Amino acid sequence: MSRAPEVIVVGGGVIGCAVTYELARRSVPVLLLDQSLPGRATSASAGGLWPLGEAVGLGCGVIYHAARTAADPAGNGKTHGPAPLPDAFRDFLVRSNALFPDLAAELRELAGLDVEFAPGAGLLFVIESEAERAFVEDVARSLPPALRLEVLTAEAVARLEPALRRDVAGGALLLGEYQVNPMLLAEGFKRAAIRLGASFRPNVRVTGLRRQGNRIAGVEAGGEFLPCGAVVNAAGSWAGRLAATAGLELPVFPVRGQIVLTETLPPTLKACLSTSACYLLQKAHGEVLIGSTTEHSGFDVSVTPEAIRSLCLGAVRAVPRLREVRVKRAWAGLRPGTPDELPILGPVAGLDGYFNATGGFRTGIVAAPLTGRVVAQWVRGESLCYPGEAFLMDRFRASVPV
Amino acid sequence: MTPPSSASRNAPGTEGRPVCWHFDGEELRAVEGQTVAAALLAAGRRTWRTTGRRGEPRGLFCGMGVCFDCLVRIDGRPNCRACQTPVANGMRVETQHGSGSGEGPA
Amino acid sequence: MIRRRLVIVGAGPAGLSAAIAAAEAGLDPMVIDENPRIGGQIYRQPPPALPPEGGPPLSSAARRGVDLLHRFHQLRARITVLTETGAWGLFPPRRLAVHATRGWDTIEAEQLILAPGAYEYVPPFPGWTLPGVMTPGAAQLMAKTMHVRPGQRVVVAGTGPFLLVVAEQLHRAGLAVLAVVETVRAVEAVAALPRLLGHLGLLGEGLGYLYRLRRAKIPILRGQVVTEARGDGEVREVVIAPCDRDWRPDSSRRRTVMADTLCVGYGFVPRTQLAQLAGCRMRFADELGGWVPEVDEDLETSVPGLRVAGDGGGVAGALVAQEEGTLAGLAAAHHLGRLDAAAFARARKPVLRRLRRLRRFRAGLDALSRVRGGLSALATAETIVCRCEELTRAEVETGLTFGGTDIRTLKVMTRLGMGPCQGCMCWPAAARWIAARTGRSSAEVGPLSVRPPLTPVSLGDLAREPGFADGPAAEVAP
Repeated sequence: MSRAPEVIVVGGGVIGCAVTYELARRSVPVLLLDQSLPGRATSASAGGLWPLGEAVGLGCGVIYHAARTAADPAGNGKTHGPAPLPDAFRDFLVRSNALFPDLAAELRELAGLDVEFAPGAGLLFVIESEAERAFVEDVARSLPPALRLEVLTAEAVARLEPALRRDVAGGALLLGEYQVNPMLLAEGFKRAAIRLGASFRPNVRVTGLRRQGNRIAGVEAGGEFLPCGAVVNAAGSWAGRLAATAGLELPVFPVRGQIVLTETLPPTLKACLSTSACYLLQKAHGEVLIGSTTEHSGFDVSVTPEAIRSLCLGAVRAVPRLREVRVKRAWAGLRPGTPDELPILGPVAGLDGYFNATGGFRTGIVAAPLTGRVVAQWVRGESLCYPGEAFLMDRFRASVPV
Repeated sequence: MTPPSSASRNAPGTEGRPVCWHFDGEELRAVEGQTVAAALLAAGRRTWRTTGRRGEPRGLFCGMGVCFDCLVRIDGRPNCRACQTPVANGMRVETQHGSGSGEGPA
Repeated sequence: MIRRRLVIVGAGPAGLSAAIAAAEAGLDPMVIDENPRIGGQIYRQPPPALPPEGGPPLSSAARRGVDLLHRFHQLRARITVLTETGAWGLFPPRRLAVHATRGWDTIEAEQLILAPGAYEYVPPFPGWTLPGVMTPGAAQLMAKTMHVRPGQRVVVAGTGPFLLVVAEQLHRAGLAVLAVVETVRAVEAVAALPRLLGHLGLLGEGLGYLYRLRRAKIPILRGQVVTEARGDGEVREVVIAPCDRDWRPDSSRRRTVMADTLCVGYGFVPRTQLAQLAGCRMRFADELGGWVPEVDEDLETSVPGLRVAGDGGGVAGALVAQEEGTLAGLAAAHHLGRLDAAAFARARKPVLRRLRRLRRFRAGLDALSRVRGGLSALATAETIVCRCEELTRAEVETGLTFGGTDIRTLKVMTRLGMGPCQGCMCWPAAARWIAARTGRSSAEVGPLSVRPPLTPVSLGDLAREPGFADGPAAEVAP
């Protein structure tokens, strides 16, 4: 573009691309800058869209919790599952999830791309003990009527998923939990945005924000200063470092997750399966994806043999026929984590020209459509289609001791 | 010029120990020490796989285990590299169609 | 977990030489190799049940192999050998993950030498996926080691002296070798002679092959390239055309040869996956076959304690591999305190001298056989360029047009390189062609990222506790 863009979005992961798309739809001149760094969450993600599952602790958080509990068996009256996320976030995720069917069609048309949105059989949490059943029943009772999970008997589970081992206690089925190809989703947002007039520059590392008093005037990238009206920080695990260049304490940090992928199989799993040792989902191409770990190991994106073993063990226990199946790839990604596991979105009090769009942690993919929209509305000064106050960065300032 | 060796294509020499194995139900003879790929070639077969996407025939390509073209079903297990697997008595080898898990030709 | 002072991956000329040098210096190295017997590709030992035929005396290359194996066996008591053991991962700092039929384990090494060798380069061309098309190495293995003829009427094509070796071996095995088709023109080969005179022994061997092929009346067509393999379900005919200095075919002058087998190879590509997994800094060296790890004079990579020797660090043939292996073994012994500085300097001097001389010879040869741009013109829009995922050139082109300068994006959009071979077959050619098309250098395009496991391991196997139940087992047959 010949003039300075109104908005520069830093980070071409799924969130950055979604924001760029929503801005482009509003005819805002926007420039997306991306440097694809090892471990970027969008590329590494499994692509499970589990708004309810993650919100109530039946998704991939349950694995981490199980591992922590195993390491500390004297639970002392702790609940049997991970702490659920606030209802406000649960509802945000459910709203965002509901946007997918239309979005998939929209992107197919605008971007000419199929994001492999698969409304399959939902998310099936496998109940392996009475304690887990009790937890599931608590969760079921706490849900509003519009959101339901179905508690299934062992027989019903066996009928639904014949490949699952038989000796389970039952299952909790969350319909409406789907999957998508996260990289194609990001690519779809990006191409659609470009089609609507957005600009995109790949292989550009934004090294800093230029702060002039109480305003962010633009970004430093590749030795160049790029001025703009507003910057959206969608830099994922690197967002904290970027914000620090403007003196902001943005508490985003990398949380490593390792994943194992099998060779291509004929249709084996219908639902996405969630157990306390791993989750499993069969992707469009037939490969089964098994995840994940939750590790605080900085920006290290190596995989470890221990984690690979642990995921394989969990997988063959859950689905015995995977024993003879080969591992095709193992990799690790960095989730952008925050202290309260909620995203950090929107403006920062006292600072103009700057918006956060990060901290997606486990739910970045499913949250992307609504996040893109809400952040774009913030940037434009439009009224928000969803209350976003709970996600402002200022919530952390309040708790910082003086 | 030295005469051509007795290495034969369709009938392995009698110098090695015979191995009885099956390919797509047919009983065949190989020589101990040969890989499945070699045994297939010795039996006059150069195709033992059809690909998943286009249903095209494949056989031996690199011979050293890096190309993953020579995949075949061995004793019910798909995706075995024929060039890396020694043939054994009683082994049941079958043409691999697609991902090889028994769903028929692509 | 197994802990060792020195571990060597690969039991070919480089790996064996490294083990010999280290053992002679008083170390107890561990050598692992995925094959059933040591020797690698170049000095491949036949299975015990298929002894080699009696017949003409061994070639010089084969004699070198026998000598090396003999020296290795004399030191056998100091060396632990794990055969049929594949390295599927390499974790920081030098922790190998290995897999064998009896389980898997990790091996932590104080000094690690990677000697994984190389594989053959075949750029895509129409019909290259037809059964009956294979690498020269595959045909050699079948004929020489397995005593099986891979076909009846064969064309041996590509570039490099290996074609002559294979053509002769296939002829001795009873195939009708219709022609050797070599892209380098006679005038260029002659012009390179002065540099090749630097090593008369090797030059003599090469001339010997030429002589024997001439005696067998096998035509060697120079300045020609195979442009297509045709047939219904397998190869029935091969199309050959003259090519220019850049190896670009002139299809208007093509002709067809009735053949059922096509052995095609244009040199070798180093197997760098383990080095990449370890995080070694890589550089692009076309004359060495592509991407290679950066190494210092003692073959240490950017990862301390990790060395690369032989074709796996850059393709230069068996003699260079042996010298590099020796150098790496000596350096490792020095770093582990078995050779003081003076002894190390003394031992390494003649090795470096021999390497310099060999490399001069190789430079002459490699300049001739270095991959040239014209080969990128062989694939048409409809040619499969990714064998695993069955992608055509047109499909990958489409992926490129979408601002696909990001290779990761290209992979995701097209699935190029996402099959089991992890880009081994497609990437060397695709990278050259993408570089040319997007106006970048091959160095800028970069190697394809690699992920463990490098060899197929089942979930059931990996779910087991690591540890070989009976301890690291030694090789049964030497």
